[in-house]
Amino acid sequence: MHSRILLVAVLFCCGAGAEQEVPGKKSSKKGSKKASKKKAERKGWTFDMLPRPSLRYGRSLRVDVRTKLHFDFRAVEPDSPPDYDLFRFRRRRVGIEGNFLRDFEYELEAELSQLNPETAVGNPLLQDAFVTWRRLRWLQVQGGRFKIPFGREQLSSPTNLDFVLRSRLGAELSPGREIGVMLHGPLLNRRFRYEAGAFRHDGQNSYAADNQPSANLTWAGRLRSEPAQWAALPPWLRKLELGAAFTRSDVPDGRNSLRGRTTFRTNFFPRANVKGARVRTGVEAEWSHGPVGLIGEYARITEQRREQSIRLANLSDLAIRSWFLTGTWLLTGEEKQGGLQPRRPFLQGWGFGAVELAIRKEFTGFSTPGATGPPSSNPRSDHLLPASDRAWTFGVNWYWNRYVKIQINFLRETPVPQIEAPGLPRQIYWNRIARIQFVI
Amino acid sequence: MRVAVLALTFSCGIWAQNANQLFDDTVLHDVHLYVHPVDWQTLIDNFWLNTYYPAEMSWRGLNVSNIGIRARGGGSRNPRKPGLKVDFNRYDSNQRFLGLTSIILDNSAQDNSFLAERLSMLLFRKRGIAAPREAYARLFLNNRYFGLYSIVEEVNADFSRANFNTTGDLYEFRWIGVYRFGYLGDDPEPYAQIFKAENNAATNNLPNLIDFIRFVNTATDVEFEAGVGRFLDVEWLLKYLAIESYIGEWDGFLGSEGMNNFYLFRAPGGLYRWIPWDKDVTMTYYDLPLDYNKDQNVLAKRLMSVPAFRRTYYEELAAAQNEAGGEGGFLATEIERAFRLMHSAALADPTKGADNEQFEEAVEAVRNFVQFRWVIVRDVLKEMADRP
Repeated sequence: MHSRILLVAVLFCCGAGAEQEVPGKKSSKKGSKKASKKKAERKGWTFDMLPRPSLRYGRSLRVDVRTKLHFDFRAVEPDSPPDYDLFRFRRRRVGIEGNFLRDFEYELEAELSQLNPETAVGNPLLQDAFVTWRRLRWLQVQGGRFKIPFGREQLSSPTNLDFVLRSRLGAELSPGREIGVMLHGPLLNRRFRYEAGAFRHDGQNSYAADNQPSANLTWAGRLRSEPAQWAALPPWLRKLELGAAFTRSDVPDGRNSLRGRTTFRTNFFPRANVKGARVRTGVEAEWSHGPVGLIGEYARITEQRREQSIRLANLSDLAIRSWFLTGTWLLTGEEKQGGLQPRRPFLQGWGFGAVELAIRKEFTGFSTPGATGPPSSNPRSDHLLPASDRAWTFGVNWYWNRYVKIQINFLRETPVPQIEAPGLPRQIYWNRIARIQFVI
Repeated sequence: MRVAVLALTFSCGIWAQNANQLFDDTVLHDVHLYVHPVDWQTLIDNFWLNTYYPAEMSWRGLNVSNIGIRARGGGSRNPRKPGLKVDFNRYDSNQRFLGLTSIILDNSAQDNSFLAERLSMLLFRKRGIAAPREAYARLFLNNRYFGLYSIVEEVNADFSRANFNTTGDLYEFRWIGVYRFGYLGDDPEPYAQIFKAENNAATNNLPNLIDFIRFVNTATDVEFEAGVGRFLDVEWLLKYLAIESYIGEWDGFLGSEGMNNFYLFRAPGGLYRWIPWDKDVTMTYYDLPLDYNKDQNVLAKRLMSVPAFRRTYYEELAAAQNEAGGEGGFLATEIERAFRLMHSAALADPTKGADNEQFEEAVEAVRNFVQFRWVIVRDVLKEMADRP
């Protein structure tokens, strides 16, 4: 009840005036850079409220307050899982980011639902907590807890997503946050951007239900490029970005594999017995032209199953393939790239905000290619019974202004589980979700 | 030619094996179980859970893979020597071993003598009550001798077909609190928790069971005597109660904490029959009163209040005594035979809960029970017969 009252209050306060801002948009970046520079030149302590609360001391210190609130309404047909709440205060993130001295940037973000034992789900209170040393632009050093550089969708902020829920690749198979150290920066005259790091484990998304990590030391690397920076491309291809990434970790003996979970959090492929290397390789692409955009990702993950037969012989590797392709179209004609600023924010004059249609197709499959013998749900079988999940997501995004976005999604999901997966008959599931987002 | 004949004979011998050989209680079997060490340790660490783990099993040269095992038991669960349920069709619904879908490997954790349950089930079967077959086995885990177990026939569809020629309604009684056959109302939910349906027919026919329970609790004495036979195989239950009484069962139908340790079966259109289960705490108190808790249980109390039924009960008790025999009788002879069969394996059992001295003492206690119980029952029956 308190969450719903807060929701109404937030919408009322933000209904007029403010603009939706999503980090990454070029035009707003230019503008905000100028404004930032101007603010930084002011000496002594300053405090500004717009576009967000920001405390500064000249160039030496900047503390920007960020908040992300997500209110979700959801239902699954048929058969909602028993713990699948109709209304959920999904995110209550509060954070600060900025810089101190000249060469250090930082970010701290906390998920306030973790303070309440009733809503805590075993994740830590602090989501992001890292510091970046950026004296050398081409060799920036970042340390702390942050996202392992794999998976474009997973690396995107939840406030920037085209859909309420990430794809299975983004939500379950990409590693997520972990404690580690990473080097990053531009390469070859900014033609490429690289990220390379070592992390304590394999990311929050791979942890078991009791919040135990499923893998040990993890190496990760990612390389991205905008071909227009170094190649002559026609105008409609200028906003194309390509990337590739990998991770490698050692997985100890046990039921530690990645699992397949539907969007309504039911397993269609339970964790399997693995031991050895877990390797992820992925490619990504993003393109936009005017109001239209496309994003795609493909990843292949292999997990060794050394000494995993009953008699300690090696079994065939577990292989996971996952991909998605998203298309978006801004009906109100704004330009789509990395973010959005409604031309006419909602309730400003006759403004309606910006409206966007989105569609996504995705697939995730688990198998043991090259295995011998008939397939079985026996977790120590060489040939594991394959399982897969397919989904179409249809969405409408309504950007009121820089603060508020409303998303309505319909998911048509078809999991094909292993026999052993309980409570998941093979049928089509419709998942309806609406989200109200408030960000500063 | 001779080689071919021999080979054919040998192979036919193996192929001819069936469940009867597996439950042959005249031999000490060797059962080899292969489980991944990590899975076994996980089972031990979580022995209270019913999680299945993949395994392979070998018996007399017959290998079966793709099976599932899990820890089992109530009071007998323990991490040092877990009781195991072995499901041959866990990962392949069409797989059977010697025609069986599953067996129990009983750890005898609550019976240091390794004798009580086996003898009790023998007596039930000798008296015509369908009861699980049991045979001793040395269990080898990953080629290492793990302990002396009993291979126990599971009460399931296979058992029902073998004993009653039909699957019928089969319920496993689940002890969740003190229950003595009282009427819990018309809502099927509380009954479903106590009488766990083992098949769809049992689920669908639960209302019949509720009708039976309601009848027992609400019928007048006249109605009860005349009508209980519409629901219950009275002779069967009286025989069952008599045997439980004879073997000193204090955790069964008339258990100290309510009803426990039985299955309930009814053939289509037939009568309810009790099937014994878990008799490992019997043959301990030879002076357990013969009318122990009979007035606590609604059904037992009503049955015993009918003179004809009470007469039948004592006749069955006398028959059980006759069958069991005292010193030198059937049970006493069976104790010595079983003891010779499993003695060495029990002494070498590295995981049993008792030391060897306690094992020998427990065997002696069962010998004493068999001898003294016969005497006590004889004296009680004689006293009753002498009453005017």
